[in-house]
Order: sequence, then structure tokens, then C-alpha cells
Amino acid sequence: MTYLFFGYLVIWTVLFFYLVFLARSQKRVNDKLKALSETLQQRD
Amino acid sequence: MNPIALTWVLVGKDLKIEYRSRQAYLTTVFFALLILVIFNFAFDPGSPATREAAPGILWVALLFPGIIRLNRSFQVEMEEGTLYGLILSPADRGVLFLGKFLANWFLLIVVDLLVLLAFVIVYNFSFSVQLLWIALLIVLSALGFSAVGTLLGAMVSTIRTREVMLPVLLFPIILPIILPAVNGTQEILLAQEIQSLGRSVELLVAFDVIYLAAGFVLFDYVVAD
Amino acid sequence: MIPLYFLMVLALYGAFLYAPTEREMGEVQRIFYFHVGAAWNCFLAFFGVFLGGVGYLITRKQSWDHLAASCTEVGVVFTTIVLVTGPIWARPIWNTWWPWGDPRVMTTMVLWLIYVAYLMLRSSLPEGETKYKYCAVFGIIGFLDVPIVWFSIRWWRTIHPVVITSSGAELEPEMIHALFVAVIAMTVLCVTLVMLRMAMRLNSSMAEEVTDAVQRV
Repeated sequence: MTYLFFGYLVIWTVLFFYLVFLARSQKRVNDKLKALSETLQQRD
Repeated sequence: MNPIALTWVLVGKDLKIEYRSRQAYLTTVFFALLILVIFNFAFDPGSPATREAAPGILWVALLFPGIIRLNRSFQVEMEEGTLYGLILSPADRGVLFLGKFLANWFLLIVVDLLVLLAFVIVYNFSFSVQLLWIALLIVLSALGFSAVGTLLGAMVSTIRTREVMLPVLLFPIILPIILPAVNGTQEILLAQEIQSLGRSVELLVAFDVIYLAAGFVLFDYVVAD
Repeated sequence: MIPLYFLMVLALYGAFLYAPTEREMGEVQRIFYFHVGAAWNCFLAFFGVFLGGVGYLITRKQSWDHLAASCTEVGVVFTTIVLVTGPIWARPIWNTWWPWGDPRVMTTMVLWLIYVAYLMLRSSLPEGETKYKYCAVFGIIGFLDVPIVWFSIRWWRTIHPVVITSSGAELEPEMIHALFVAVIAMTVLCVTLVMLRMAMRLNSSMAEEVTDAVQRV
């Protein structure tokens, strides 16, 4: 039973870390877009 | 010039470069010998366990000089910017690959056979006809090794961390070559009777053909423009 | 997204409640459903890398490279799951963490090494066409290597002592149903992740392009 528990724990942690990684890259893209819209506003 | 003659010109060029800067080549050989000796110190020399591990040690000692060799093969070209010259020349990209590959293969075989010679002495095996079989395994595995290695070596030659990148990329890919080679060696050196050696050789030949074909086709994309 | 959540819950229900407990292996066998689901998706994802590589070399469109890169990441995530759940399952059943002779275990490990190397290659090359080309080439060789590794190891195993025989496990019909649902759920998860990652990459490169254009004006 402990083995089973750890098995599933591993699956969810790995997926969780990948989601954290995804969220961080998403944030980078967001920042890029924000900087972009700021430069555009300064132009106007 | 016909492609075959052109290939030989390229091979000759690489061999000449190596001959003129033989210091580097000798260092590679020396490095391989050093690995053998270090393993001999790391294990208890006389024990049967060392004897059993010997085929593995031999192949580790053969892999590292191979990596150094491949790194050097393109490093020389990059330093002098001659790779661009080769690419700009009217020679077909496939011929370029074959030239580089054959030179690497030949240079690798020479180091490897020297290592084999030293191995027999350091690990107390006897000189017999069986060594020719190991030499065959070495020649065959060096073929696949240089085929994939030439392709990947050209790729990583522009990367700053190429010295580590090459083994990281190459070792997992050529694992199928190392397995039958080590097994064949084990059988020749340790087994009472030889059963599956023919299978090892067959597998090596088959994988060599695949790697050579893949390298030949894909090299075009690696060096283009 | 909603079908994915639904499927995941259904798969968990199937693995834990619907499927009966295995007679010999006991509760541990319930790892099996997600283990197999992840394993199948490794191959799917790495096939995506191969496809992306071939597509890029033929068309030279960056979207193919996005596909290859996204598939590699997701594939490595799934392979990691397989490689870690495998030993956890193997320990109580076969009494060994790592059955070195088993072609499936070894092939998966070599796959993991190859594609982690791919990610390293990616991160060490500067952005540009050369990078996409090199990655495409390596992705193609890596995928061609999969069957070769398999044969090499399977042959190697026949002359080494076989620690385990994994065949002979008969599955109850309920187990097959649960496995089926789990595999589908994991596949949907895999595809969703790849699509998310691709969209993100597309947005990122688009943002970069626009930034460049704006700065040039």
C-alpha cells in the first residue's frame, strides 16, 4: 500500500512541477507582451 | 574530379593534418593508456573480479579517446575557418561526410588497436588468434561510432560547451553498438566456448549500416549554409 | 479542458475502485494503469519529435520546430513518470528496483537519456535556424535509435540471466476497462500539454517578432 501511495505521489509531483514550469514560461510571455504594449503606448 | 578521388583527397588532408600535429594524437593515445592503468589501480589487480570486469574496462578506455578524437576533428576546422572553405567548394556534401568519416574511422582504429595491445599486456591476457576477433569488433564498432560521431561532431562544433555536449549526445545514441561489442569481447576473453559471437558481429554490421546511412543523409542539413 | 478533467477523474475511479485487486501482486498493481498510460504516451510524444524534425527539414517552418520542442518536453515528463513509477512497482513484486536485463526498462531509460540530451542541446544553441535544424537532426536520429536500442538490449538479455518474466499476468475484464480509460485519459493529457506548450511557444516567438518590428520602426 505504501508503494502504491508513493507511486501516485510521484506521478502527481512530476506533473505538478511541469505545470509550475509551464506557468513560469507563460509568465515570461506575458511580461514580454506587457513590455511591448508599454513601448507602444509611449510611442502614441 | 570524381567523388571517390575527392573523398580520398579529403581523407588525405585530415591524415596529413594529424601527422603534422602528431603531438595531439599521441596525447590521445597516452590518455587511453592512462585510463587502463588507473582502472588497474582501482581494482585489485590479481583478483578474478578484475579479470571479469576487464572487457568493460577495455571499452571504457576505447570510448574516451574516441570522443577526444571527434572533438578534435572539427575543432581544427573551426579554428582555421576551413570548414566554410570545404562547404563552399563544389564538393558534394555527402563526399565531405565520407571524407571526414573515413579519416576519423581510420585514426580511431589506430588508437584503439594500440589500446588493445596495451590492454592485453596490462591485464595479463595471452596473445592468440582470438585477439583478431576483438580487433574485428573494434573496427566494426569504430565504424558506427565515427559515423554518428562525425555527424554530431559537426553539429556541436559551434557550441561553446562542445567538449561535454558531444559525449552527452553521442553515448546514448551509440549504446546499441557498445552492448554487442562488450558482450563479444567478454565471450572471446572469458567464455569457455564461443556461441553468440557471430550474432554480435551481425548486429554490429547491421547497426553500422543504419548509422552510416543516417549520417550520410542528415549531414547535408547539418553543414548547409 | 473539461473532458480532460472528467477523464482523469474517471481514470482514477477506474484504477482505484472499479478494477479489482490483483490476486498475486495486491494493491501495488494499481500503479499499472497510469504507468502503462504514461509509457504509451512517451512513444507518442517522441514520435511527435520525429515528425516535427522531418517537417522542419522539409518545409523550414518554425511551427514544426515548436511541435518538436513541445513534444520533447512533454515526452521527458512522461518518461520520468514511467521511470520512477516502474521501480516503485518492481520493488515489492520482483524484489529489485531496477531489472537491468528487461528490454522495456532499459529502452525507456535510454530514451530518457537521449531526449534529456536533446533538451540540453536545445538550451545550449543560440536562437535561430541553425538551432532548429540541429535539433531536428538530433530528434530524427534519436527516434531512429529507439528500435535499434530495443533490439540490441533484447538480444543482450537473452545471454544474461533473466531476473523476471513479466508475462503471464492475466487481466480481468474490469482491469482492461480501467486500463483503457487510463490510457485515453493520459493521451488526452499528453496532447493537451503539447498543445498548450506549442501555443505558448508560438505566442512567445510572435511577441519577439513584434518587439523587433516595433524597435525597428
